[in-house]
Amino acid sequence: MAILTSSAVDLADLLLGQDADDTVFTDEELIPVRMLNEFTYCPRLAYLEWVQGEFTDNLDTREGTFGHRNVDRPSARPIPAPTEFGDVPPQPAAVPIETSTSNPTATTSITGAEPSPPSIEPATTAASSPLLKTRSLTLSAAREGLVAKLDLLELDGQHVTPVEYKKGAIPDNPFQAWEPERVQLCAQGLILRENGYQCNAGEIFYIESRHRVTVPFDDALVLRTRELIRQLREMGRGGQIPSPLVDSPKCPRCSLVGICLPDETNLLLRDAAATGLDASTRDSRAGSPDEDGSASTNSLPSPVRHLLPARDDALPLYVKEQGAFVGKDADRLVVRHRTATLISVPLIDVSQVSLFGNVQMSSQALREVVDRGISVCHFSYGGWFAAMTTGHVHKNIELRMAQFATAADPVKSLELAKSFIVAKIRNGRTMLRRHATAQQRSGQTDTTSEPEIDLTDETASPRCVDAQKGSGTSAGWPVQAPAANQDVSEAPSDNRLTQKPSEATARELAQLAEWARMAGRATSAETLLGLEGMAAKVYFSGFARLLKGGHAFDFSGRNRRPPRDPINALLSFVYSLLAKELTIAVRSVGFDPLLGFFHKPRYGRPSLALDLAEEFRPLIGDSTVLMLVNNGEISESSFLARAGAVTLTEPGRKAVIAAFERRMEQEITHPIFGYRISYRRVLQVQARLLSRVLLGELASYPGFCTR
Amino acid sequence: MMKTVYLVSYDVCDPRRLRLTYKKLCGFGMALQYSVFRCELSAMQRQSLKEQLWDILNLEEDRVMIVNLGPAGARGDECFEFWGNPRMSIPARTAVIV
Repeated sequence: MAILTSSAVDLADLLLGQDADDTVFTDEELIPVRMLNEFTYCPRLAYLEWVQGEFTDNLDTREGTFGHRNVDRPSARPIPAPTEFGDVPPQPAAVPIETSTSNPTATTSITGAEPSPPSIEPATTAASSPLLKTRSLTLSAAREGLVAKLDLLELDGQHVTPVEYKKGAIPDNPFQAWEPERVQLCAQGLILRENGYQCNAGEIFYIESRHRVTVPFDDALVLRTRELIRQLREMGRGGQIPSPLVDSPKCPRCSLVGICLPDETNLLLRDAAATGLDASTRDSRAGSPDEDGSASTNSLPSPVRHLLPARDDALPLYVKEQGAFVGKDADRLVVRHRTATLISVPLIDVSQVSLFGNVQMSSQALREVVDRGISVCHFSYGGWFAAMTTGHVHKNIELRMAQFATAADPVKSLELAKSFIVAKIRNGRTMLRRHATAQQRSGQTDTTSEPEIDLTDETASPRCVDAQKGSGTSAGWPVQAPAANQDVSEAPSDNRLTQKPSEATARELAQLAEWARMAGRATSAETLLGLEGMAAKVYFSGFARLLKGGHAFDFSGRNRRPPRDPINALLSFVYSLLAKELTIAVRSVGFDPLLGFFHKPRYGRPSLALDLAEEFRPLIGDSTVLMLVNNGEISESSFLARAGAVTLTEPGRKAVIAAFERRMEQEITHPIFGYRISYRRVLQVQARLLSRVLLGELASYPGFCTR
Repeated sequence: MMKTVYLVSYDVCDPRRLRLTYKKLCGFGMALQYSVFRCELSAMQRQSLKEQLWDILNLEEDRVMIVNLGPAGARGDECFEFWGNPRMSIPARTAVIV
């Protein structure tokens, strides 16, 4: 074993305990030192990145990389191996830091803020060899089991100093460095020692402060580093994701916060524990008494922080002009038709591309969008979602393995299927109930107050109320006309609506509630399917009464392949768009979209996307149709009937996509987490939560039910 | 996520770099005048622009000015006044359907 700088022999034995067992790690088992930094910051972060292969940038990581740009280019110059300095025995020479190692508490005496690059002083120890510097050097150590890329290594004879570049300023703590960085640097030191260099301290260069801080590798730090390496290795073997940090100030600045969902997960785990205690059902959980009152009176359940952006930066691009061509010009997507340019949009503003029918796309454009993680969805001219082009398969193989194992297990599959169907029936029921109330009310009063009904009526759970207080209940809403459109449409003029809505609806509501309960207790997939069918029938008969527009929009139940009336044509198309959204969502989380738990696998069918779509059919699909019809955004002339089959015309299809997009971008208050979030983001969060269920972190899938 | 509107202008001393800069900025916003762009960017996109321009420019000879005009949909949109023929239409903040 290499160099030991400590004089405290017994402690040194402890630190170098690995000498006892001569474990040598293979290349596969080496831990990247950067991962050790992440693990020290948050074990869950390290698990997500290291075990599951997740990574995403945020502003901090990008600025960090930018600050690194000078040290990320490897030096061309060769550097001498330690042996090339001659056979100097690995005796610690007069190392100044050693004095502090006998007393671990003395580590606070670091005077690293002084700009003392070793190029000034240390020429005294090895006068013969000049100071060498090398950048971006990758080194591994088989016995330590580590591999690292050193930003900068300064060699002064056999004595070396790793320098780590960090963005930002020197932190205001006694060490003038955060623990993750000190541990990372120390691990680099361990690697260097195993490679035969003398290394007693490292330095952190703070880019913003333009200062170096010395980090001595004292016994306490070495011990801590070794312990963390051991824990990290154990975590990798365990296969169980560590719990999120609780209400940690680290979370808002973590780039993986949208994948980790720390507060959301903690809330669901807490709720699961609470329901486990009093063995109550999901319904009572929503209004459980311990959540009563505001967060200030009850300090235990910390509110879910709004760490996710409410909406995406970029938006979808739909191309349905037949014969159009999508090309790339610099960093823009350009849609041309013959010689005319239809539109040109910067790629940074595009989140997904949907092509309908005969639309061409150049391979340059395809390559570019795929590189940027943008999916291309291919539809038939008539709106059948046929295929999707994406980049490589997601790295999270652990999730796909869990998905396949769960799908092969009928009991677990049924549990998930029940969650989807219960949520679907309940959402359908909510939709009927809301609109029935809206109709009754609009019969007597004016309709201008209706827009809020969609989201804020009812005695929502206390969490929701809290959140609404925070964001302003009604007046403070972002002024977005589409959001308001939906329920304004409930004008009282249509005669069909006045035929005793309350009585019929009340019966339907009771039935749906009962079937939702029964679906939750279903013991076989067949029973569940039957309940779903019965509920759909009742729901759609209620739905038919909500539609206005006379005979053109008569609707007596769902039919498809082909749809035989305008409403069914609309529903089919909107469901197709919804399936597209969920295919993208589950794919981005790392699922295989084709293997579901309720929908049986069939060639080419995105069963998992359809599973997750169930609970959103009423919320997104049906409400979009309702909005289109009742607002008069679509009329009889938007449809073509051919031999009993009804299809949408070109302008009709455009109106449907526009309405669907408005719904997807609409921000709502999340019924469980209480923050503002767009429907499109809700889909992503649900897919993420489903992954947590499959990986065993959450006990049951929390269906998305509005109130 | 709210975006911010920036006015980006540049002096680039070399024809090749000038052309690359122009093309790069086309991917981030729209040209208003010669060497003047309006860009609507999130914090991450602003960082991307910076990184990519750094790769193109020679900052010893060239320079870029970036002015924060305020949030999109608010002051960032209202602060423009054109005399003569304006070359700007505020981009739609909805899905593009063609």
